[in-house]
Amino acid sequence: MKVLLIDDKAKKGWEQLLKLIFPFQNMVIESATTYVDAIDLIQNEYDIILLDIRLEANDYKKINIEDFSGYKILKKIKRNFSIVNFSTPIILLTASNKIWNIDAFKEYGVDSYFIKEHPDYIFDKKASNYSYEIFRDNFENLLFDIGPRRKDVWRLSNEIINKINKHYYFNGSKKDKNIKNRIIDKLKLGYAYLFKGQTKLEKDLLKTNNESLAFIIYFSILEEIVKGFSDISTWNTATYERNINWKFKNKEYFIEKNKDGITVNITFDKKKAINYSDDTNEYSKYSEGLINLSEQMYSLIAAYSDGDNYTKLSNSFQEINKFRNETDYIHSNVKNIFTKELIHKDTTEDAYNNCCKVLELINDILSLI
Amino acid sequence: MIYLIDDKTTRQNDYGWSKDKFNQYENDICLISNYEEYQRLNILSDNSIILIHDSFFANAKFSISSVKRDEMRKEIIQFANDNRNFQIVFFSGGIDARKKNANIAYMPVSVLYQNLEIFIGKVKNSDINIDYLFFGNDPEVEKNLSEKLIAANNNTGTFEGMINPKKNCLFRPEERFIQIYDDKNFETKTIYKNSDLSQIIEVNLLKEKYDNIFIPISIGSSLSDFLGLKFATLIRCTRTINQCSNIFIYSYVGYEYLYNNKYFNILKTKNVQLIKHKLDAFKIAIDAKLETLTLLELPYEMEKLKLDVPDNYEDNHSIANEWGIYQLAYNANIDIKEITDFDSEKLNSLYFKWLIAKNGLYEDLPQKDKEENEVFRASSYEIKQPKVLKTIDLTKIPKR
Repeated sequence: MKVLLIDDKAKKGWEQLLKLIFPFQNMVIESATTYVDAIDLIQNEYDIILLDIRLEANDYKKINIEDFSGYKILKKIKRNFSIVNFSTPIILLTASNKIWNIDAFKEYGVDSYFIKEHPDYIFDKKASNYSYEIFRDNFENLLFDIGPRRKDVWRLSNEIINKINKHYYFNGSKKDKNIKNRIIDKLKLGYAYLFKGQTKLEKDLLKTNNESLAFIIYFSILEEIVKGFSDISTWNTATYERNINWKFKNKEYFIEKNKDGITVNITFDKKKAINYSDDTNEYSKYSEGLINLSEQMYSLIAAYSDGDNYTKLSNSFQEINKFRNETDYIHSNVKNIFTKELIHKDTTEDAYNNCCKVLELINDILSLI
Repeated sequence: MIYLIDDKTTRQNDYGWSKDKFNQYENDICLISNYEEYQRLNILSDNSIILIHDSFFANAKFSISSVKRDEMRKEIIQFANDNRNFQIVFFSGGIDARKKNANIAYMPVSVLYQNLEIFIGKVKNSDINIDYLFFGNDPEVEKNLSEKLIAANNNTGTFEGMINPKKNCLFRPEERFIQIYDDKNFETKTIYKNSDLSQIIEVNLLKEKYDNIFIPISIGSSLSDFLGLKFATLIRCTRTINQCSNIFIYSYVGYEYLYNNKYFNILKTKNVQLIKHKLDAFKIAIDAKLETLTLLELPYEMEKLKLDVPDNYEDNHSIANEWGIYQLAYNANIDIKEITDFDSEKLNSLYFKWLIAKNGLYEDLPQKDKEENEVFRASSYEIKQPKVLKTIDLTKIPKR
């Protein structure tokens, strides 16, 4: 575990004190006492960062929060979703009691804060001890729980972004690039919902469940993925309506019109094409493009994978899809409407795990080609 | 020419000396703020008046060795010893009292900047007297106080001795002290001119518990600094068996002389009283039936004092950090001595002692918090470290 302490007084006792308060054997604290040192060290990955607001003497002459050295460092850490410490939890360690300063830092991604007591505004003993307890709990919570979770999702998201930025399916035409940008934006949106602090009021009374919302956002990326893998040259691109034939960019057909009717490459458990004659209901369904996402996904997996890989990916999607139908936080399942409550406490953790599973699946699909 | 050598230029503004104000006196005073300027100007001449920050040579910004810095300080003092027309004044936020020894003087930084304009005016009119820098427009104040003290000593009244069950400690200055020939009722302690107040406490108030402590209003070479008030404050803020003893400050001047002293508020606290510089006042004080001051009441009493951050602090930010560390360590039940990077010398300053006293940090944390903190730290260590299942001794494995 690596901790970065950014504080001009780090070597005047703060670093030692933190080591004594948090005596984790495998924890290393590195310190930056100047703005320049901090900019240098934040290139390395940390598990938690403690950040002071003002590091330079001339910070005390500045009025705008944006000009404080601590704020500039924060903006460098958060300037881009792919920056190495973007997801690293940050605790503001400050002698300032000005709430607008703290708010400005929180607006830009600081998770928590600890106010160093100042002789001019000393808390009473009880409040002082309480402040310490909160700091201790926040530090532990961010370091061992929230931080690793956030880092996992951030890492998976960035793996997808890196792959998609190089993937020739998503970097050709303007349309392909648009799909790519939407996927990247949805990754950020999902991350934002997943780790957005929810108040007790929101959870208890307003029934928010950010994990489920994030899951729905991530799940919806699969819509974009399928379109990115599809050859839309046969589509009516003026209205983006599909013609009767649907093939993927690797020339494998998903739906193909032939002399006997329509052939659909869609199977859940094995790769098998099914042929429907033009007098069947399925024929009109597929010819009109009434195809749900799960069918599109199975078809994509079938078109791009073989054997074990096919089984692994289709099973993975099946599991995620099942969860999506049961969760129905936004999309309502008919059975659920009559039988289930909208929010279940138990599903929150499942939703988080399924967020990771969707991201892993997207990663795997992008690796298929 | 007056040379003002102060590396802490930002505080000049705080003391009312802006750039514009200094510009008004550019022909009378030369400002030096760094070593390069100091080297460039040849300031050691017979008629120079040097006002120099006491820590100027020790300033870490200098790229010269500490040995060389010491030499430079010695050189300037030697020059003053050899040239009596040369005047040198060392000033600092850490100096509380005015002190003069021939042409070498020491004074608080706040007083220097407060009286600097008057002093410049006098020097311009060839009236070179450091007392203007010490006391402003009233350089006779010391003389007047001295006369008052002598008069008070000549009129101390009588003291009808008695053997009382109380233990009384009488501090008296080295010179011009009230005569009480009574070693049955008083343990007399002498305060020497250059004694450090903290040391006086350390030497005299750690072993024996006194009911009453008598201290003079003026201590040290400058009567008008009324250091007796500071001494009383220091006794109250220092953790000793006498921290809550009754304190009687015997004074040859009334309250009107003391209002502006920064430790005046100690007189508003429980069991600290200003008494007359008369022997019968001592008797009344001993007989007084005062309700005992307790450690529990002390924070409330110390809250009445409003001490400013000492002038010798780098900035307000530094004290906040030091206090922040101290408080957090206290709450985490960590001995501050374990934090070796922390400048524990700071704990000896009156300001820090006052902060500790007024926040009641002498007391241990409540047992509940203490136990919880211990459990947290112990569990942090046990739980978070990797579990060692087995140790393999590689030396016993034969090399392939």
